[in-house]
Amino acid sequence: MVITGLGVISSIGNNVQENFNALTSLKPGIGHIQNLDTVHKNIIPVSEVKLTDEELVQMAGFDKNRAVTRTTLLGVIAAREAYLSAGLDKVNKLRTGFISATSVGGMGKTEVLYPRYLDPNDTGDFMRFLETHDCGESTERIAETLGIKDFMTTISTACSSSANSIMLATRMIKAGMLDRAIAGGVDSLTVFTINGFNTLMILDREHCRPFDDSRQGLNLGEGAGYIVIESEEAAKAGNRPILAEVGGYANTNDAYHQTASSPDGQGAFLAMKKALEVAGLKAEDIDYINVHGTGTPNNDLSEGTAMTRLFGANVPKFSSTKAYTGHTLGACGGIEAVYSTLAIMNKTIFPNLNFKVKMKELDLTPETSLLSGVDIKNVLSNSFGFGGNNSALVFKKI
Amino acid sequence: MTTGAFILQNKLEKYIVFKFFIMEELVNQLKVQIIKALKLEDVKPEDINPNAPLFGDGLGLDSIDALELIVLLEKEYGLRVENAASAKKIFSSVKSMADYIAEHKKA
Amino acid sequence: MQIYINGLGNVSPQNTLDNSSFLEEIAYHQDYFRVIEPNYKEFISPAAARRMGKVIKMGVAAANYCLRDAKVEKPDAIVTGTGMGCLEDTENFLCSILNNKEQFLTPTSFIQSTHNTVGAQIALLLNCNNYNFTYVHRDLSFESAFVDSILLLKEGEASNVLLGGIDELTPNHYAIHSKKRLWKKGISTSEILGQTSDGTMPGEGAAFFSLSSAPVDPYARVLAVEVLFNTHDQKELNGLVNRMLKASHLESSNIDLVLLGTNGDKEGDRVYTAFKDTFFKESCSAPFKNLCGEYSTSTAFGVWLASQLLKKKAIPACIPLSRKPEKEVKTILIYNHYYGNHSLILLSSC
Repeated sequence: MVITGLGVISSIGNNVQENFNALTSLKPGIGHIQNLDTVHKNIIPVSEVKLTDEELVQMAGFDKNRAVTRTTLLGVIAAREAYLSAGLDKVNKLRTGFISATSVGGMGKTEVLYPRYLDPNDTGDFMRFLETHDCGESTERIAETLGIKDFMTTISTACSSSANSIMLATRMIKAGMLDRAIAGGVDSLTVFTINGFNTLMILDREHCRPFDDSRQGLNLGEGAGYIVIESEEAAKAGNRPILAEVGGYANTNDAYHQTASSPDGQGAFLAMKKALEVAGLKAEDIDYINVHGTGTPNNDLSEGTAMTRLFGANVPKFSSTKAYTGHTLGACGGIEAVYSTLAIMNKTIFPNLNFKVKMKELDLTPETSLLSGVDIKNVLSNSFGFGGNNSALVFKKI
Repeated sequence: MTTGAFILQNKLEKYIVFKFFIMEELVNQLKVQIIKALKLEDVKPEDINPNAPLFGDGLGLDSIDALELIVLLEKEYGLRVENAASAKKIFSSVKSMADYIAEHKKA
Repeated sequence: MQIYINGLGNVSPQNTLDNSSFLEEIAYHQDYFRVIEPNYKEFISPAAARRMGKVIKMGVAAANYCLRDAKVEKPDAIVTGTGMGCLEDTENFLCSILNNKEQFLTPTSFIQSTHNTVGAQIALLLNCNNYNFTYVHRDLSFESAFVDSILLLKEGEASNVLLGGIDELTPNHYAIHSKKRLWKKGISTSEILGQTSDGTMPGEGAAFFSLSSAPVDPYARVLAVEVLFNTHDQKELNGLVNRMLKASHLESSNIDLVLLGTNGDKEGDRVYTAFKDTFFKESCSAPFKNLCGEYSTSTAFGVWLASQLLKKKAIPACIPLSRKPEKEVKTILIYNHYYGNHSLILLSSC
């Protein structure tokens, strides 16, 4: 199952090229909250896409009077980039799927309108937004914009959501249910999420420091990332470039706690191990791991422990790109799939920003400089979510 | 003992007794609040030993309960716990919570 | 490969959890369908239950019952579908934010509001490290989960899958959507299909199924699960029905009973009438939402009902059949549509 297109929008760029430029010039997108009205405005750093809702509407090409959520707009922009970059519009008579993911859905509008929703005497134009709340809304609007109807669905498994979209798409193509699919996910920043994570006391009041001993927590982000996956046959049609391959995938459950990861990283270990098996690879075949690396004390220790268990003394080069983009929740699997593919295509390993001192418990040091000219054949990408939902993907050089 | 010293000792004893009752009231109040905040429906205040550990053994609370207790402390007593590390000590038992409140709560 | 439904668990607005009786007495509700809640202490310890909102308890109880029914200790995969997720917890957290101006917020309702919480709780309670997905695609959430479950079995990735469809109704959700005039109001649920008027009556439920490639005292065989998106075009629906029948080596006359997702809404129900008249004019048909109401994963109730009908080989009086079936009902088709999305689920007896 090969990758023929990429699309991304995040705090570090509005398309693939901009994201790549920021990654290679070590420019993170973390700063103070601009687009939301919250008491945390100048306190909690976040990683917002640097466009207002109005600017996104223009960029997505929607009518400004249409009832549309920020989540949908971000998704349309990234999914369309993937669709066009893969030249899907040039080869039409194939069964095409759109498999998306989100954790917030339309909450951005709901949280603003909720008092009006609850007022029994308040009806009006704003009621059009009611139907935009659920998770399936952005998927249907994006599919409609791209003219995809053969199959679509939406996955929501917290922070592993869009990695799971990619896994499902690959499996459906492998099984002959689809010829090709756009897969990934999207999430937008909301007051609901910021407050939610704040109650868990896992937000850093500074820029996050994945895998660093002094790390305090994560920075929330937003964005969308999609890849186009096709069967080899479908990809051959229309003479389009093949960028990389989805080589392996796995989903497991930590079954330890609702939000915390197990001390021995069992779920993560099982997911990485299985993804390697599916890819037909041994541990030593992995050249780079794009870790989940949120910067929370718990995740990084648990993930690091799992990595040590699997790779022993020979943990491959690894980095977390969340110090650039923040933790984009349901979108991170998709965005990091794009980054993993870019790593393979450009023989580049992106650095783990803000790292100074390795954690006491483990002997793990991520890559802190940009590495070029690296022959990357196999990338492992991790995404771990609440509810112990652990996913690992393997991307291979073609 | 002189009359003065006797009166002073008497006052001191009354003060200690007074403080004891304040503390007992606080401990009981805390038990009720904890039961409510953590939805421990099958637990009665008299079931909770104020000196027993709240986490691990004892009541068997977990990290999410710790976060709930942090909110309780702020909402009911105006006291902020800045990080999880200091929380561990404060919440080791109902008594330690009461001590913390008594020590830090503004009059 | 054959796919069997070996176990059922259903917390619904009827007495469906206990398998010993089958829709003998129908429960009626005022304005909207509410689940009849079991004694959750039978399934969940107080320590675990204290944090769970209603929808999570519903899901855990139904899943638990289903696994016992199928004699499965730990499923190889847990796949759930939910249209609206954990509404009560979402509302609680949101209202706290609004009422307290983002202060004194507690984490529990936020944690429980994530859509995969039901699946995650089931895994936690069973100590199950296996595959665990949650689908959230509106009225096709359950069908998406079903398609994935079948794929897992066909891939050989699982020898049994725990599949569930869960949705809850909250007073806030009901009140807010009342403003859009979606509901018939002021009547009993017994009248949901009795009036040709606008609107339906909402419901809720948690229905779980244990699927396997090996039969273990099965309820039914799964022949097909098909979905169609974003269309009101009769030709496209025509194409789908024909593809499904062909793939199952059946003709429309082989379908003994068609369960339709008729929900009392005048305009929406026209689609069901047209469907039946076009494809299954001679077949016997019946509604199922007169028992559970309208909600995103209501087809899960339909699948529960069909499974029971196929195994028990008897049709209770509460199912208003279009006509009496001439022979034993061995093949049941469930058809549901909602705003241009359609699903077809085909089951047969074993």
